[in-house]
Amino acid sequence: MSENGLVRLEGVSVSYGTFHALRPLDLTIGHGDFLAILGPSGCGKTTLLRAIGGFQRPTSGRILIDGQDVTALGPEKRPSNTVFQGYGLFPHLNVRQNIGYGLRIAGRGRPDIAREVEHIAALVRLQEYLDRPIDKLSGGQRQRVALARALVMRPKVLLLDEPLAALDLKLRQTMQEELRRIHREIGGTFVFVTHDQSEALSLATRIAVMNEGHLVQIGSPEEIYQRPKSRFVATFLGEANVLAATRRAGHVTLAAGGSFTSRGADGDIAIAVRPEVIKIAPSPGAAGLTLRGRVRDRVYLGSHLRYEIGLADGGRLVAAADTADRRNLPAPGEEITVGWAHDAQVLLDT
Amino acid sequence: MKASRRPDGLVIRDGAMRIRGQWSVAWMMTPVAIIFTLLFILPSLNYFVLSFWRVAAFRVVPDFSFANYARALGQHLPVLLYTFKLALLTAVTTTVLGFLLAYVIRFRAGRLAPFLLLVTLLTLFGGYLMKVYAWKTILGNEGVINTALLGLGLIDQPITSLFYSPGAVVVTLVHFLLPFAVLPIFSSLRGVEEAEIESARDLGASGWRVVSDILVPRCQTGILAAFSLCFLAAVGDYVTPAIVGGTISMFGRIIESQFGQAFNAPLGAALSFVMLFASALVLITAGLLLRLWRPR
Repeated sequence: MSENGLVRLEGVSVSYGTFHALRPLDLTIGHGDFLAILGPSGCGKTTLLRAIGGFQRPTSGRILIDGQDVTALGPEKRPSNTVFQGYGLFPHLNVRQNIGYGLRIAGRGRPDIAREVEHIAALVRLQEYLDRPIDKLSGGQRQRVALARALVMRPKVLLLDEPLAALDLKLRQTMQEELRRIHREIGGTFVFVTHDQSEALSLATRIAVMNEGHLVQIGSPEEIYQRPKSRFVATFLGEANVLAATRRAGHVTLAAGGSFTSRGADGDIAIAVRPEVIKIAPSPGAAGLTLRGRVRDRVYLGSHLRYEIGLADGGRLVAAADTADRRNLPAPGEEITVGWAHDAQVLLDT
Repeated sequence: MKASRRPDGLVIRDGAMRIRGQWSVAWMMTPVAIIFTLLFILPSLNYFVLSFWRVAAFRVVPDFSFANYARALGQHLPVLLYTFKLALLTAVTTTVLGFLLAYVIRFRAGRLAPFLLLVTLLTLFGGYLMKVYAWKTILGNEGVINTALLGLGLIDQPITSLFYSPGAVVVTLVHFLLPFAVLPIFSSLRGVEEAEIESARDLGASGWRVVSDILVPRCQTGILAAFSLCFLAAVGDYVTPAIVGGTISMFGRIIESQFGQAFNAPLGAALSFVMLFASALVLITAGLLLRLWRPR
């Protein structure tokens, strides 16, 4: 079963008339995954999550959870539970009643419900708030209630729609740690939607990047960051320099100068280089590829120095140099050489 | 004197300002208070006193007797119960229909919502008598239904019981009162977020459980307001029964006749107070029932 994944989407698409919110896509989510669906607003990520949860009927395709075809089932019949962006807590019930609501509908006995609620409240650290009304809770506490209310149902897959978006920065960091801890402790399968790339990188074990209704790349945070397939992924996750180049007979020449060998079809291509892999004035032989440029700007950012370098073709290159490197600190206006290792650059599909 | 800073940044000096504030509230309330006292409290007291008087030789004479109340609760009790039955049926039907319409406008109509709300409001401009006569042209002896059935040869005589019946009273009142039920319920439903409904569904609630566990408790005030408005309007109405009810007797018609043909204002007053108290009882019961309505 686990080879086939816990959740499988086959050719799932969603359109409203002529607008395609979600292009047909296949996606497999494994047991124990903590998957982030990442993309800019309007990319279809929430539509995808709602399709898995049963709130959005797909226009085409099938959705399977644990081998069962749930495409035609409503949310009340799916083995998934959702934490909504606005939490959707019931203000006429207190914390305990909110958390126990699903169990009561399932027809579980009172002592049973009480025990489960206490157990889950301990997990999300809400024990002291169980008898409070919802309007007497802070944002972070409401978030925990929403989480507990979904987790108490022991869902096969927990869906979270922008779970931390409504919280302030400090609280968001705390809740990130909490989510990681809870995922570790109960070992479930979590899928969350976010537009925040740092949140996706720090929380997820896998990231699915979406753009304009397409699933553009899926992989571990390292893969997505280090081996982006497209210009979109390279620039959406972290900062990247995308440089134009041309390939002729296995020989790639950058528009800004410099060349290397790479097999593939002839034509215009693009390569991506992360700022932190670029070396300022590399020692001979340390870099597989070097370029000449002029320093336009230098900003001190504490952990690193951010250089903006003008290239020969008029392009711009951003490099992050270690502040611990006291060797040389080229100033704006200076002509310098920059370079990087062959394996630090990525050839982009588009 | 202490100065305190309000969240909006205004600095208010305790004491002077607060007293001035209370006075301005008093001033604003004055016109309403005067109107309410002159047009409701004083006449009510007048009729309350009158309800203990009696009529002798076509003259109202002061007395202190419970005879009027005895008659109201004795001779006229069956009509009172019948009236309450019809009014309850009307109020419950209208509240349920109003709830459905308000739900559709709030959650299902999408971009059509403002339009539907406008239409609901527009029907209020139709006027009361116009609706009564509209139903006459539908249900009456020469109405649309009877004419059609006669024309098709399905019946030989017009069905009189379509109109001039308790059913026609309820239908007419429901039609007239529906906007009064929709508006308060809609305004409470506006406070319910879609995510609450989706969460309930996500946690396994069926459509009916969403209504009973989430929507009804969340709309208590709106539902009670809708029910009260409809019940009071229906229970006190004497025009509709007179026009579309045929021979049926409603409490309002009896009260009206005491002040008219029967010339027995004291009995009319007693009947009015009986109805007032009975209505209050119904509304209090309805409020308590709603408050007790908790998800099991």
